[in-house]
Amino acid sequence: MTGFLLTVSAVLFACGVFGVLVRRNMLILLMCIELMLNGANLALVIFARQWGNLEGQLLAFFVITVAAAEVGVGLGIILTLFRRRDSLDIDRFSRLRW
Amino acid sequence: MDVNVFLVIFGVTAMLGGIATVLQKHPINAGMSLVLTFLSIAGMYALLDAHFLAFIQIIVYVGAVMVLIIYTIMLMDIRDNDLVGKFSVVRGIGAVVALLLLAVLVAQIPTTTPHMATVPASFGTVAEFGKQLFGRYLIPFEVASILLLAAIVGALHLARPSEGGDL
Repeated sequence: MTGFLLTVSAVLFACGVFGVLVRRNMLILLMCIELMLNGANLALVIFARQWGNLEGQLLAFFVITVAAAEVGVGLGIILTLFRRRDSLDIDRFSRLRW
Repeated sequence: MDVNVFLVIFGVTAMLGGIATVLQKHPINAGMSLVLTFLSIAGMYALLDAHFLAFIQIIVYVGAVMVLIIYTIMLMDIRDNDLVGKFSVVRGIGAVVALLLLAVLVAQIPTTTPHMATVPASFGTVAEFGKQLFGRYLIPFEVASILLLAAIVGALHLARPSEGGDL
């Protein structure tokens, strides 16, 4: 059972990585970051249950808290960038390149 | 053991939702798939004796984070600029990297897992969580509230109109 659940966690994380690498829409990028965080949280909760240790769930709780704060600030950043360039395509924001 | 059946169902639904999130063209469809993923993960938390976390997952992730993201999607002018079907070398390399990562992660999963620990009935309940959060983990709890305050102030500052205004 643990093997299947850990595979679910790994698939979620890999989907998040794939989305961050491939997609260009900034909002979908944010959603893929949340997907990665959830994959890691699921692994924490699985191991907390397996070893009977509550600290895994506590760490997952703090990860959820930090992720919520990060989404709030991230959406503010996306809004500011959208106002500046009127586009959600991250390939347009390449002024800082070499 | 019907606990296992529902765990498998929620696991498959979470995986399908995750794959659908990265493959959808329109952000709204991706957002709805992500909501499905979050709800499935909350179901898995509840079945893994993490009752408090299941509630927090639904309230915070589905009820706050996804609502914010969907509001932002609705407020922005979505144009057809993110075609998933267009194949390019960079996207191919990205897919290969993600598959490699998945292979490495799955290879680390042990084939012979030890028995699941027998946990007391109060494992993962609100009372147990409260005892830990206000006992041993009081300082991280308070620091997290300061972090949320900083995030609120930062988001308010970023969302203010740039020119004009009272301040």
